[in-house]
Amino acid sequence: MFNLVKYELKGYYKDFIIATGIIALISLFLITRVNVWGLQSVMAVSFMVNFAAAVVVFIWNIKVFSRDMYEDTGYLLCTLPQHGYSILASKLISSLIQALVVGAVTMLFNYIVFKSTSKIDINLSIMVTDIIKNVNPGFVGFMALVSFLEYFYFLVFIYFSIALSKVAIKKKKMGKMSSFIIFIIISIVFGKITQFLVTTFPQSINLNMLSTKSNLFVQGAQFMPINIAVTIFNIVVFVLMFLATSYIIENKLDF
Amino acid sequence: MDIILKASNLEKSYFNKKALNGLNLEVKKGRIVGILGPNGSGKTTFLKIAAGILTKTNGEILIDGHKPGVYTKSIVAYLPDKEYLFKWMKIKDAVNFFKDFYKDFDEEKCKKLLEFMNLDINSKVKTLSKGMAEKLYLTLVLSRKAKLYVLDEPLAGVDPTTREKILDAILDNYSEDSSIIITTHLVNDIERLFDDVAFISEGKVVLSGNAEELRNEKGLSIDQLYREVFK
Repeated sequence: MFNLVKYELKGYYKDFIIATGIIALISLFLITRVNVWGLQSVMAVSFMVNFAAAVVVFIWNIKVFSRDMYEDTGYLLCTLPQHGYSILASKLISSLIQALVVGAVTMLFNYIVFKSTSKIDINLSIMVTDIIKNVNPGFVGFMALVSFLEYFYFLVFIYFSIALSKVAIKKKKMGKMSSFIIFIIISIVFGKITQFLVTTFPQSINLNMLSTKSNLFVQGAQFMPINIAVTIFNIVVFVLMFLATSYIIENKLDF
Repeated sequence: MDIILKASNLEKSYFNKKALNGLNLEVKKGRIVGILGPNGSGKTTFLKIAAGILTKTNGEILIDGHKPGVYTKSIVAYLPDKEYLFKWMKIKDAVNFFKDFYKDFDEEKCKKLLEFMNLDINSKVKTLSKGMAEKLYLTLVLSRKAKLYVLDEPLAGVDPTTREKILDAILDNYSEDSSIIITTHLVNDIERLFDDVAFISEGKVVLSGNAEELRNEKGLSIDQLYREVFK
C-alpha cells in the first residue's frame, strides 16, 4: 500500500513544487502591495489564493482516483497483485498528504502575510500557550480526528460514485457525467436521511470545548453537540462505501 | 501434463454483442500457445479476462487452479496493447515500480534485457517511439519469473528488425516452468515460437492443437492455415 502512495506522490512532485511556488510568489508579492492596495484588499487576495489552492488540491484528489479508472494507467494499477482495499487506502492517503502539504504551505504564507501586514503584534508562542490553556485538549484531538475522517468520508463518497459509474457506464464521457449525477443523488438521499435522524433521534453528546483551567466564560457556546444517531449513520456509511469501492476495484472493473 | 490455464464455456457479453461465446481452452505448463484470429474475434477480451482486468459474463476460467484475482495477478505477467505506464516515469522508475510490486521480478535479468533492447534507463517513457515503448513493456514483463505470460500483440506496430529482437527476447527468456499465450496478426513472423495454436472466430475456438501436428496433418504452415480458416 505504501509503495502505491510513494508512486502516487512521486507523480505529483512537480505539481507540488509549482503550486507551492505560486502560493509563495503571490504571498511575497502581496507583502509588497500592502501600502499600495490597503490591508483589506491584500487580505481579500490572500483569501482568494487559499480558495484557489483548495480547488487545485480538490482536483488533484479526484484525479488521483479517476485517472486510473478512465485512462490506460488503470491497466497498470489493476494488474498489480494488490487488494482493492489496499489500492483505495493508498489513494485516500495520497490525497490526504496532498491536502496537508498544500494546506500547511498556504497557512504558513498566510501567517507571513498577516504578520507582515498587521499592525497588531502577534506572538505565536503566546497564542499557542493561550490556546493550550483555554481549549480542552481532548476536544482538539477529537476534532482533528473528525476532520481527517470527514475528509476521508468525502473522498470515499466521490471515489465510490466514480467506481460505480465506471461499472455501470463504459463510455468515458458518459461515465464521468454519470459519476457526478450519482454523487448528487447519493448526497440528496443521505441529506434526507440525516435530517430524519436528527429530528427522530435528537440525543446528542455535548463536547466541552474549553479546558478546566480556562478562565474564559462563553455563555452557552462552550459545548458542541454531536448527534449520536447521525454519527453512527456516518460511520456505517463510510465503512460500507469503503468496502463497496474496494470490492468494485478488485472484482468489477472492466478495462 | 499440468494445466496452467483452463477456460470452460467462457462468455463475455456487451449489451447484445457477444465478445466471447463459449470459449474452451487449455494451456499446458511449459508451452507457448498462439491465439490467432481476425479483428474482433475475442482474442484481447480473452486475454484481459485472464489478466484479471475484465469480468466474465458466464463460464469459468481458472489460472493455476484459481479464479482471476490477487493471486493470479501475482503469477501472470500481462503485456496489454496499451501504453499503460505513468507519463512522468523514466525507464528506471518503471523498473523500480515492477521491482516494488512483483516478488518474481528479476532486476538483473531486466538490466540485461534493457541492454539487449538498447534502452537507456534514464529515458523518459513518454518520449519513447512506438517500437521502443513496445520493447520496454516487453522487457518489464519478461523480467518477471511468472508462471504465465500473456502477451497481446507484442509485435504490433514495430519494424522487422525490432520484431526479430522481440522474438529472440521471448525465446531466450522463456523457461520450461512457465507458459506463454501470444495473440498476433503477424502469424508468419511468430509461428516458429508456437508449440500449440488456437484459432478463434466469433468468440470461440474453431480449431486448436499442437502446431507441429497441425502443420503435418494439413500440409500447411500455421500462416497458411490461418488464411484457410479465416478466408
